[in-house]
Parts: sequence; structure tokens; C-alpha cells
Amino acid sequence: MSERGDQVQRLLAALAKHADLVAEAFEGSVSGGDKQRNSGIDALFSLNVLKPYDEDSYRLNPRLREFMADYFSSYQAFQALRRVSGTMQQAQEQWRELRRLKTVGATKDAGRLHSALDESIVEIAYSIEHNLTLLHSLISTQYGNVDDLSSKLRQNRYYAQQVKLFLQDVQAIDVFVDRVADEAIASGLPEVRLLVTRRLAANRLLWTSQIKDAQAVISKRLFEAKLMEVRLKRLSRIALWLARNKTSAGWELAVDEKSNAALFRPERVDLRPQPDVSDMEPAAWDGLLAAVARMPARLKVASVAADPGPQLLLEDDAEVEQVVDPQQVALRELSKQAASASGPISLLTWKRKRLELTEVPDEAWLMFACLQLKGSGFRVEFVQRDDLDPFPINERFHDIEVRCALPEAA
Amino acid sequence: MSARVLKLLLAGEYICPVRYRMEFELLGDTSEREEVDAWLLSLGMRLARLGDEGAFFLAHDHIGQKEITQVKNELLKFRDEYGPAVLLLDFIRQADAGRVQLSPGEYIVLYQLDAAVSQSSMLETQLKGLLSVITNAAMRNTNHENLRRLLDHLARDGYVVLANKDTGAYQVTGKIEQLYAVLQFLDENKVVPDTEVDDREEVQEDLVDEANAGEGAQS
Repeated sequence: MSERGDQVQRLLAALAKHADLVAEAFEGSVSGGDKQRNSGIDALFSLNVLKPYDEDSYRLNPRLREFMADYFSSYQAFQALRRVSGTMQQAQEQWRELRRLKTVGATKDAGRLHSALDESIVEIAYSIEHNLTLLHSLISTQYGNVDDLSSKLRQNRYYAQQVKLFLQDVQAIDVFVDRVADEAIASGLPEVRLLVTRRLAANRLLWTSQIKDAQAVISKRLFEAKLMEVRLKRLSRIALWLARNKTSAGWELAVDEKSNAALFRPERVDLRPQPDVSDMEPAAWDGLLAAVARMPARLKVASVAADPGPQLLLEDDAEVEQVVDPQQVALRELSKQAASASGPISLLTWKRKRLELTEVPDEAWLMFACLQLKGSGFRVEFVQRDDLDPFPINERFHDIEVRCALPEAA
Repeated sequence: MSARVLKLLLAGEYICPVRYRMEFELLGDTSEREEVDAWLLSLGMRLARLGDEGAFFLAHDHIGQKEITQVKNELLKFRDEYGPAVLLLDFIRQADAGRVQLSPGEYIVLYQLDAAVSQSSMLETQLKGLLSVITNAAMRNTNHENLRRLLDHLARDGYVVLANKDTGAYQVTGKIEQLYAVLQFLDENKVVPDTEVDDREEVQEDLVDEANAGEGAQS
């Protein structure tokens, strides 16, 4: 291992030792605390990993932050795309010097310049790849580094501009690659031609197409966002009109068949499938039987009486003989008598005088006459037996007396 | 050809990826779409779409006088036909302070609306003014309850769909683009003069754009 490689290992070991502080600094600034923490900050500060930011406040070296941000695809809002024009200029100078050194025969220095040019070429390629990754990340998350819509829109516009410059850079690389490739053949440096062709020219078309894709997406998003703004403004305008003009219901507008199809709302077409009873397919037949089984039981229809045949209307002048109930007649007479009598009339005594009532049992007569007379407004009194029941449960009576109702008290 | 797709179309539904994801994906297949279209053609209908990538819906193959009269009547009674949806969606737009775009697929969260209304007496007053428009809303209800009914109203009309009952998240469906198409038609007919409205704000060109424009001009 070379001395330089050893140093790199030490640096990485120091970073690993204080990984917690590095991680904290990636999120924001770090400040001192206990003794162990302070010594960690000192160690990182001496390695230039932390840079002083404020009183007892340190931030991560921007280059290290950038490396981590690339790794985690975590980008700041409005982060500029990397310009490759500076690196390309550097590569051009290196190429010019390399050719001069080759001409004068300084092989050792030419070798160093070749390494430096290689590094510059790799950096150009890396910057382009980085820019594409950044664009893809931002576009796929819809500029997720900000929540505010207007900020998203501004970022979209910003990157639309950035992509234009990026495309210009890639086109400038085309010119650079062609020139270096031609000059490398002329100068007898085919390895440089191979370098630029492999690292840059081979990927040129892919990069250009990817940038143009990103540009198309950004433009579309921008258009959609603008369209959306227009829609919402329209919505708010019509809503405001509805609120201000409460007496107006709508507008009489000219509509024709060429109007937007979206205006014609679809009407519901009701579907009601009917079973095909003639379908003898086993599945259809089983389904039909199952449907029949689910049907409610048939209502029993009352049997229709047999037709008695034609009817003949017979008109008879003979009077219909009315059957007269003797009890009714007797009761009518009794009520007449009771209405005019001054004293009470015994129902049993009165019954026994009537021959037509001899077949009627006493109990039946008493119940019938009592209810009818009471209903007609007569006073009825139960005549009790003189011998008192020692344990009276029912009031026993043997007769009922009826008399005319007293006039109601005023 | 999916029977479910046909039934939805005949039921007058808008098949969008938010509400009917599977059916929408089926219609994404060109051959399926052609089959459905051919089937509908025999009924004098066709498969139409809102915009280039929007929801699918059933349209008449030939627009007749009856359909024209129907649309004219709908525009004549705009307040009853589309007014509630316009007012309720605009209320959501205002409550969400510019973040919500009311585009298909977007989420509207009930508690966020509730928080916005509780922090703004203006929104609260506005919500109370909309109670007559919202189905089943009432003055005695809490704001939260009335907002829920507002979203349920929009869900019944098919403009949003309840995505998560627990969080009260509703998702805007593709049908909203039909409403936007009607509003665009109104705009094209200049029914509401621009001067009548003053709450519109122009998109401000930002300094970054200006700087870039300047840089571009110099280079």
C-alpha cells in the first residue's frame, strides 16, 4: 500500500469512528457537548470534515455533503445542475499541453498530463450522469423537496431553463470530442482518442435522449400545472358568480352536435335480464330451477263456484211474511206499561201472566228483559232473597223490578 | 370483453383509475377497447374519454336534438345541475390554501379541512352559508360533521370516493374532469365576464426565471 493509500484509509477510519457526528452534520449543524463529543468534533474539524459555521456550531464539508447527497439522492431545492463547461475548458488546456509535451519529448510529464486529462474526462462524464440522476429524482418525486405548489412550479420552470443549458453543454462536448479525436490521430496519441471516444462519445446519444426526455416531462408538467391553475381559477370564478347572482339559475347557450362530448352526460341504461325458459342448457336449466325454487309460494286462489246456469227472476207480489218474536212483542208491551206505571213491575210476575212466554225459562227472560229495558233507560232493581247468605260471594236475586226512570236532576 | 365494464358504462359511470382501477386498466388495452366500442356501436353508443388520458364513459354515437336539448336545459338550470358541486369543490380549494389542485387521484383529508375551518372564521361562515346546498347538513351539527356531509355529498355525486374511512381521506375521481369540461365551455362562451371577479391572482414570474432569461440573453 502506498503512503497516499494509507492516508486515505486513516481518513476513512476517522470518519467511521465519528460516523454519528458525520450523520448528524449531514442533517444540519452540530454543536459541542460532553468531552467525548467535543474530542470527536475536534478530530473531524482537524480533518476538514467539519467546517465552522457559527459560535460552537459546525457543518459538514460541502463536498462531503454533496457526495452523500448523491448517494442518497437527497437534493436541495433549486439545486443547480453541474456545469461541465469549466471542466471541459480544463480538459482542453490539458490536451493542448499534452500535445506540446509529446512534441518536445517530455514523456514523464506527458504521462502525468494524460492521467490528469483522464480524470477531467471522467469528471465530465460523472457530472453529466449526476445531472441526469438529479433530474430524474426531482421529476419522479414531483419536486418532493418542497411542499408548496407554487414553489414546485417555480422549480419546474427553473429546471426547464437548467436543462436547456445542460443540453448546450452536452452539445459542446460533442464538438470537443470530435476535435480531440481528430487531433489525437494527427498527434500520434491514439490512446487519447480511445479515451474520449469510450468515455464521452459512446454515451453522447444516450445522454442527449435522456435530457430531451426530461425536458419533455418538465414541459408537460409545466403545461399541466398551468392547465390546472386555469381550471381552478375557472372553478372559483363560476363559484363566485353563483354566490353573487343567487337569482340566476344558468345560461341559455348554443349547443350543437360538434360541442365537446364531455358536455353530454351519459344516461343510465337500466338492464333487466329475463330468463330464457326455452334454454335447455343444463347450466341454464339448473339456474332456472333454482330461481323458481326461490320464488314465493303461489297464493291459493279460492275455488270458483260452479256456474249455476242462467238465472230467472221471479217477481211475486205476495208479501213476505215476517216472523214475529213473541218475546219482542211482550217486551214492547212491558216497556209501554212500565213507562206509564207509577210503581215497579215485577218481571217474573208479568211473565207468568203471558201465555206466549211460558216456554221461555225464567232466567232467560230476566236476562233478556233486564238488558233491553236497562238499555232503553228504565230503572231495574234486583229483588234479593230475604235469607242472607252467611258468606256472600255473589248477590243472589230471584226477580227484577222495573220502573220508569226518574227525571234527571237539573 | 368484460361484462363489468359494459355494466358500468351502461349504468352511466365514469371509469377512472381512482374509482374503477381494474376496469380502467382493462380498457387500457386497445383490443378490449375496440371490442367494447363495437358492442356499444350496435346500441348507437360509443366509448368516449375525458381528455386524452381521462376517465372512460358512454357517449351517443350520434348527437341528436334530444341530447342537445338536454344539455341546453342542464346549462339553463346550471345552479341545480352543477352548482352544488362547483360551490363545494371551490370551498375545498379555498380551505386548503392553494395546495390542493382538485385533480383526479388527489387526496382530500377531512381533518385537514376541519383544521382549516377551525382556524378561519371566514371559512366557518362560508361553510354555514353552504349548509342549504349540502345534503343532510344542519346548523346544529359541528363543523366536522358538516364537513363530513359535504364530502359525502360529493362522494354521492361521484366526484370523490372514500379512500380511507379511519383517516377520513377522500380521493378525487376522474369524473371531476367532466365538470371542468363544462366550466371550460362556459368560459369559452364568456358567460362570466373577467371583470366580475377580483380574487384571481396572476402567476408571478419569479426572479429565477428573470435571471435565467437575462443570462440567456447575455450569452
